[in-house]
Formats: sequence, C-alpha cells, structure tokens
Amino acid sequence: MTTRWILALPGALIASVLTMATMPLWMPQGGAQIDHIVMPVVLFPLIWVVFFMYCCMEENLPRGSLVMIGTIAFQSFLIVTAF
Amino acid sequence: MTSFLTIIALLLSAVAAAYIAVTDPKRRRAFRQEQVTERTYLWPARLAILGPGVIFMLLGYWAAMVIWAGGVTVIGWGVAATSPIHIAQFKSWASEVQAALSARIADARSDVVARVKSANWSAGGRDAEIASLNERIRELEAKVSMLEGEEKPRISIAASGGNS
Amino acid sequence: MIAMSQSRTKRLTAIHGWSGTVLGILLYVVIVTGAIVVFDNEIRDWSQGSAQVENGLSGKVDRIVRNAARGIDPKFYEEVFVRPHVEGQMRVSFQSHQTNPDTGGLDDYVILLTLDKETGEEVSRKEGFSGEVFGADRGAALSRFLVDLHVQLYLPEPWGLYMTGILGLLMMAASVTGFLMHKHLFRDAFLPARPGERLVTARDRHILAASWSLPFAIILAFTGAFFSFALSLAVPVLAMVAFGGDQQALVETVLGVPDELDLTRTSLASLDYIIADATSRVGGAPTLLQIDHYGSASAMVTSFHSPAPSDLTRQTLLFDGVTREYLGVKPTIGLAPSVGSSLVSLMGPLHFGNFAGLLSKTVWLALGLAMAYVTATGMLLWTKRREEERLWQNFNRALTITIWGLPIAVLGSAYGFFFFLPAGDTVFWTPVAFAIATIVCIWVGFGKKDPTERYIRWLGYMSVLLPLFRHIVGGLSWSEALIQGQMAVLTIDILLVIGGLVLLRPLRHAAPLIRRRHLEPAE
Repeated sequence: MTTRWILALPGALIASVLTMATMPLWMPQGGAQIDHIVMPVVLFPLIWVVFFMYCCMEENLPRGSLVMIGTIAFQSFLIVTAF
Repeated sequence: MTSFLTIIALLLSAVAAAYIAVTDPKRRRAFRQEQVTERTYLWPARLAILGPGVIFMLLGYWAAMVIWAGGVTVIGWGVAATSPIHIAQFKSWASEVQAALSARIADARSDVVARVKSANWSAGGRDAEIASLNERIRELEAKVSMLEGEEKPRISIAASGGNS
Repeated sequence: MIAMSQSRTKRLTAIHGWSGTVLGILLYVVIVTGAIVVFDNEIRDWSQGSAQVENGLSGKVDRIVRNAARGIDPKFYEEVFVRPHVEGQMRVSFQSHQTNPDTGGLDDYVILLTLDKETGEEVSRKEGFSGEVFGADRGAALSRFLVDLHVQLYLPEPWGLYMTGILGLLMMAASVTGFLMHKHLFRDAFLPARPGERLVTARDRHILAASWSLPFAIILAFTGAFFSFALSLAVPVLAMVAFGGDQQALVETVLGVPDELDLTRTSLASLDYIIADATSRVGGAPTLLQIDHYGSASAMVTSFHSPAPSDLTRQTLLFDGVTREYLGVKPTIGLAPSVGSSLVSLMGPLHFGNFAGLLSKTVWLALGLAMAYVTATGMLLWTKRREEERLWQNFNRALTITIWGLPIAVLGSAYGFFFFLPAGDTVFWTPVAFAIATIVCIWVGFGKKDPTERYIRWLGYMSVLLPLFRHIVGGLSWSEALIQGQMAVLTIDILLVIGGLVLLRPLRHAAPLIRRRHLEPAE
C-alpha cells in the first residue's frame, strides 16, 4: 500500500513534470513554431491524471513500479543529455 | 438573439428532462408510485434533451452550445433531484396556503355581505324611524289643529305682537 | 464502464474518499469563492458603486494618449495599454518589464494614469510594480480579495498557486475515480435521494449531483490547474530545459516577438483611425488597446474586442503602429495560427464563463454552486460513514463550520469593506473582516449544539440586510443606479435578497400566518 501511495503521489507528479519537460524534444512545432512549448503547458494536468490513474489502477504493483521508475529515469536521462 | 435561442433550448431540455423523470420506472418504483402503463416517449425525450447541443454545434454556435451544455447539467440535476416527495410537499404547502387564503377570502366576503346587510337593515330602521317621526308629526299637527280651534286669539296676539 | 475487480473498486473508493477529505476543505473554499468571482467585475462595480459604463474605446483617444505620453520617460514606452474606465474617464498605463527586487522575478513596472475622456486632464497617477499599482485600488478591494482567495487562497506566490493547482489535479482525480466507481451513471440519472437521514440518502444525494456535474467538474478542474501551473511551474521548468533558464526568452518566443527591433523614434499612426478601422471590421469598439514599442519604428497596435455572439474567444486584431496597416487577426499566442494558441485561448472562457455576458456568467455561477454541493455532500458522506469515531465526529463539525462559515465570512468581508469604504483602508480591512467573521463562526461552531440552523439564519439575515447596509453607508441607491444604468448594483442587490430569502424561507409559514390573522378577533 505504501509503495502505491509513493508511486501515485510524488511519483506521478515527478513523472508528469519530467514528461512535460521532455515534450519540446519530440513535439512538432506547429504553424507558429510554438506548439512544442505551449502544448506541454496545456497538457500537463492531463498527463498527471494519466500517471496518477495508472498508479491507482495497476494490479501488478512490481510492474507498475518498474514502469514509473523507468519513465522517470528515461526522461531524466533525456533532459541531461539533450540540453 | 443567441441568448434567446440558448434560453429556449434550455427550456426545451428542461421539459424533456422532467418528462423522463416523471415516467422513469426505477424512480417510480423507488417512491412506490404506480408504473406508467401507457406508451412513453423515452427516445424522443432523450433526443429533445441532447438535441439543442447537437444543433448548436452543427450551426457553429459555440458560445450557445457551451452555455447550453453547462445549463443542462445544472437544470437536469435540479429536475432529477426533485423527488415525488418534494412535489407532494410543495403541493400540500400550496393547498394549505390556498385553503387558508380561500378561508380568508370567504370570511372577508361573508364579512362584507354581513356589513352590507346590516347597512341595509339600519337603512330600513331609518325608514321606520322616519315613518314613526312622520307619524309623530302627524299626531302633533292634529293636536295643533285642535288647539288652534280653542286658543285662536292667543296665537294671533302673539303673532301680531311679534310683528310690532 | 471499465471492468472492475473488487480490490480495484476498494482502492478507488479509498482514493476518491481520501483525495476529497484530506484537502477537500480547501477545495471547497476554492470552489465557493470561484463561483462568486465569476461575477468579479460586477462585484467590483457594485461595491465601489460605479461601473465601467463605457463598453468600448471611443472619442479623442489619439490626442489624449499622445498628450499623456509626452510626460512619460520613453523607457516606459515598451508596452502601453489604453482602456475605458468609469464613466467619462479612461486609463492609460505605460509599462516596462523589470526585475522586481521584492520577489526577484520578472515583473511589470507600471505608470498608471487615469484621465478625463474629454479634456485628457489627469485625474490620478500611480506608479510602481503591477501588484502595488493595481492592488491598491480601494474601490476594488472586495473583488480583488475574493479573486485572491480563489486563485491562491490568500497565500504568497508561488505557494498559493501550487496549492490551488494541486487542488485542481485532486478535483480531476476525484472526478475520474468517482466516474469509474459509479456503475449506473445513466440508469440512475433521474433517481433522487429517498428522504431521511440514512447513509444511503446522503450517498444518493452526492451521487446524483456528482453525475450531472461530472463533465464540467473535469473542465473546470483542468482549466483551473492549467492557470495555476502554467506560469508558476510550467514556464520556469520549460525555460530551464529549453532556454537555459531564460524565462524572458521563452515568453518572447511564445508571444511571438519579432527578432529585430528597430527602436528609432518614429511618429505613431493615428489611434483614432485604427480604432475606427478595427470597429468596422469586427462590428464593435475595442475594449482594450495595446501598443508595443510606442513611438518607435517597430510599433505595433493590438485591439481587443468582446467575442462575436456565436464565439467563445475574444477577437484580437493587429495593426502596424507606423503605417496603420491592418496586419490580420492576432492569435492569442505566437504570430501565426496554431493548435497550441487555439487551445490556450479556450482555457479562459471555459474557466471563467465570461464570453456571453450575464447569461454565461449565471450558468457558470450555478455550475460552481453545484460543484460546491458535490464537494460538501461528498465530505459529509465520508464522515457519516465513520460517525462512531471521535476523530471523525470532530472532523464532521469542522466541515459544518467550513460549509456555512465560508459564505458567512465572505459576506462579513463585504460588510467590512462597506464599513470602511467612506473613509478607511479597505485593502486592509476587507481581509480582516473576513478573518473576524471566520473566528466568530469557529467559536460558535464548536459549541455543544449542531450550529447548522444558526448558521443558515445568520447567512440569510446577513444576505438580506447587506444591500440595506451598503445603502446606509452611502452606496448608490436603486433609483440612482437605474438612472446611471449601473445594472450590477441592482442585479447583485436583488440576488442577495433572493438568496437570503431562500435560506430564511419566510413563505414556509405562509399558511399558519394567514390562518392566525384570520383567527385574531376583529377590532
């Protein structure tokens, strides 16, 4: 239970902030060359809900932990190397 | 104009929602009401609830569509949350008020009638009074004419004295 | 619906309940104040007793702005805003982006002039960072306090924004989990709660309101979380990642500032011509005029207009500030149309409900009150389930105090505001009055008896009497308001009286009252 709460509360928040931060890397810039920056800002609350609900619904807790830790680690790596 | 259309659409949806609520079998069962035996028009009512939104969307009236959508969620809730018990309570309140009011009105009316009647009665009384007074005048006149026969000179003296 | 195992349902119930309870009280505060500040402009007009009667810019704007600009240091020509003000006046502000030494962040330094619309004579002048200049408005203290309570719970930046942002996320989580938990969303859509004080009654009440409110709960929570996090979290994070920490660079990229600025002094095109051109293009006068790089070769004029009758978003036109040439519709963000800009421009109307006058605002107020009802009944349900436990009994009392005490305190702040409006510091006393009313409510609330009935009576009387109090301390009377066309004064007064009467329900006793009179012996 504790693991799940850690995943769902700080875990989902960190994962969604990191996802927002890496989105400019792959998001198309769009007509005004701003979408890659604006879309992450707009979508941030939805991204959080997706991570949060995933942590709540995942029946297989070890797999859930792996997915979350993997997501966080991978995106941290992207940020460190890309910028 | 758009506001007007939106309000009409909301009214239409409200009526449709009320219709669905009143005929809803589960709701009637929960409140121990008899089921509606005649044919109900569930699908047309559902269409009437949601129809305005679709029409606004097709017409590109986005503002009206969004206001309508928000309004429907509130009005729909209000309609659904009004239970048969609320309606019965309101009805009994209304009939109580109505009864009290009509009692007052009936009372006031009988009061007025009584007053009018008593006014008539006292008017009749005055007639009687006038009649009795007339009677008295006649009596007195008769007396006077009798006295005139006996004491004519005294009166004429008095009259001439008054003239001098 | 999604297939749910028993353990999943149990978990969702726990998440739904805890997410609503832990921060639910704060969420309730944000929702109730949010419902109220849908009418923030009207509250401002009502409380200061004079409205922004002028809906658009017209008259000799050009001459007045030029005259005003002569007395201003050109370094404040970076951004100039021209807007209508109370009747017969307009406001011109000259601003430049500077670092605020108090916060260490980027801010606008503002010189705000209030001018006579006909003569251009200076009515008042304020100078300082945007917060001080716009925050020190005595007449707007009440609406500003309520907005502040809604936006950041009256906490310092950025913590208040983080808090309300988290509450927005929480509301989304509660909506989604609630949706997944409830299996008969459509089948029970018309099933009202059965009467009584039983648990199932409380549950049915919560579920029915929540089912109908669900779509807009998600929309309002999502847009609210966006507003809280966009500037406080997302912009700094993205600036750090994509612009090496330079927020100014990010803002310029996003807003679409041209790369090369030519700041050679050049005469500005006629604003009157631009206003007339813009008015004829959209069919209404601008509500705001923004001039970037006033008086330079790179000057740009943007005119903002109310949304067209069928639209949600306001219309924005761009003009060349030197040649007065019409450059096209200006997207909210960037220089060309984009998906991101369209989405951002929808956030405001969907959150504030301010796109179609009183009608949309009324619906948004109702939506806010419905959300408040859902939150309150949800929290009460959670404590009712655990009413055997002492801790939850106390929590239940705290809930009752918040549910009724908050609107009482809001009215208390309005009384405080009006009391000090004739001569006093409303900016200071409005929150103080709120705090005093809160303390009184808490004091009374923790007594032995359930305070609900008493709170409802207080709220009813305070609401009915507020218009009278406003009038006594020198506020606009109804006849004056009618003559001057100040509809906000009438509307809010009437709403307060109706709201108070709904709570006091004097008509409840109508029948016995009529009968009692009837039985009294006639004179």
